[in-house]
Amino acid sequence: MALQLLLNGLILGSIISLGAIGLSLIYGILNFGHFAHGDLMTLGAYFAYLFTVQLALPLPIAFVIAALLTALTANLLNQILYRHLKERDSVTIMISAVGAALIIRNLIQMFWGPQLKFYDRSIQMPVVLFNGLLRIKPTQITILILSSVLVIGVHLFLSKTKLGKAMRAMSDNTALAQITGINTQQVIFWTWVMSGVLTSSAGILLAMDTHLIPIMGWNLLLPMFAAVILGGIGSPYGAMFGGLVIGISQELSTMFISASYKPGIAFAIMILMLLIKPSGIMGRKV
Amino acid sequence: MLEINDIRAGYGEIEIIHGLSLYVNEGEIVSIVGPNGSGKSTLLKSIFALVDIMGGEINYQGELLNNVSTEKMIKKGLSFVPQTENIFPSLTVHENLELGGYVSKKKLKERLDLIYDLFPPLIEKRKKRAGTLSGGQRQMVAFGRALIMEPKLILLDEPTAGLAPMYISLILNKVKDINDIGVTILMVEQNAKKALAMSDRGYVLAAGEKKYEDSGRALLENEEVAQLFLGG
Repeated sequence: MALQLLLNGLILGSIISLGAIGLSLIYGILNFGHFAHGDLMTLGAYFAYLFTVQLALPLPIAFVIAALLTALTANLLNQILYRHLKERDSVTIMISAVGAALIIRNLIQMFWGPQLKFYDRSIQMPVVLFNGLLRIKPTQITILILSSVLVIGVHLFLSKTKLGKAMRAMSDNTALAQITGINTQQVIFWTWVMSGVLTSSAGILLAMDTHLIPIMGWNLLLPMFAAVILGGIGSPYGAMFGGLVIGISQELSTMFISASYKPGIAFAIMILMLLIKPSGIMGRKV
Repeated sequence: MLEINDIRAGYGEIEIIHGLSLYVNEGEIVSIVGPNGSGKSTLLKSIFALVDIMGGEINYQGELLNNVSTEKMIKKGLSFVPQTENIFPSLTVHENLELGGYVSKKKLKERLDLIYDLFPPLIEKRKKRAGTLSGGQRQMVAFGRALIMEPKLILLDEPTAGLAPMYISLILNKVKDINDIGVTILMVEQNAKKALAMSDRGYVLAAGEKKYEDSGRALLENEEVAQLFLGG
């Protein structure tokens, strides 16, 4: 059973990680908690639903279009909302992000309705491993491969390209980035693009594993924030690690407590981390 | 090279520098010294437009610098090294240096060779996260990053602030080395005696105004300056 839970945790953890990377970078660079991140995730999943189910395009193509549209939406949010609140304190921007979250969620509900939706309703035969100790569905294998590819892609981007390094630098110290001559506007634009692509991917992977529902992303917002705080605010690598820890602990906790208390684990880890080491495992500021 | 005329600067409504003029000639090391709160750092920051300028002119190589973007200043050969938080701690030493500027690969290699030559301790630390370095080494990273874009004039804001005593002379010697490769230096420094001793000229500030200006040596020998500002 532990093995199965570990696998489930790994899948949930990689989905949380993908969302948390963007959340952490936005926190580091723009200095506010982006509360609409979960609903951007939902939006990505529904965009993919539009293209793959309603318009009958192959899922991989729908995946890419949805990611790009979500990246566009993220930048639009920044252009019409957050950019204008930059001079205000971070609470104002945070509240406006909650507003944006509600708008996105209600628009989704308006267009697609509140019922559960699926990309694919066919029954999948799981692959059985270790004498039945581990059952893994083909979709789950796809999710694991795709999320690993995305995480490796993010790592290569952040560590090998000048733009990626500038993103990390700005997340470290925005004022210094400015006087070093880094084009901060460009970095902010690409941060939103990357966050949009990653959170949309997370939403699509989550919907592939389970189903679509307008509240799906909002429900993952707390675990994503917990991952960001655990890893250290502003640290993309911390967010990847934090996401995996949160996902796996949530699933493993069901060995000891009822599954309905699972989300409490993310809370507990977040609070513990804030009490013991508020700067997170790989971060340096709060 | 740099000429500041009657500058008034501060934060928001609060004026800290009250009409101050100074100049820096090419190739010089010029120090700005004075007690805490005398506006030394504000003056330096006003050149790089990091504080609000309320009046006066800043000319650099014959061009008015007021309202020029940071990117343009860097292109014109100006560089600023802040007093604290002057490195990107989660990036490696090498990445910190690379981010100093957008230059061609060949040029970057040339500059990196020069920088590692100037600061040998950084060679073996190049793959380490800059946040793990000692204070002196961090300062070298900050200097190095400022040197990538081949600056003509570097503004140093208290380069020895917070350093262990053993590093102070070392870092000031590095400042001299940077000057020796042809970079003009304007620095604000707490260790007034050491700074003036190595400077061509110096300015003594108090309460946002210029009290004395002379060659470094002359200021050191000036009894009034010594008594009032250099601790006897």
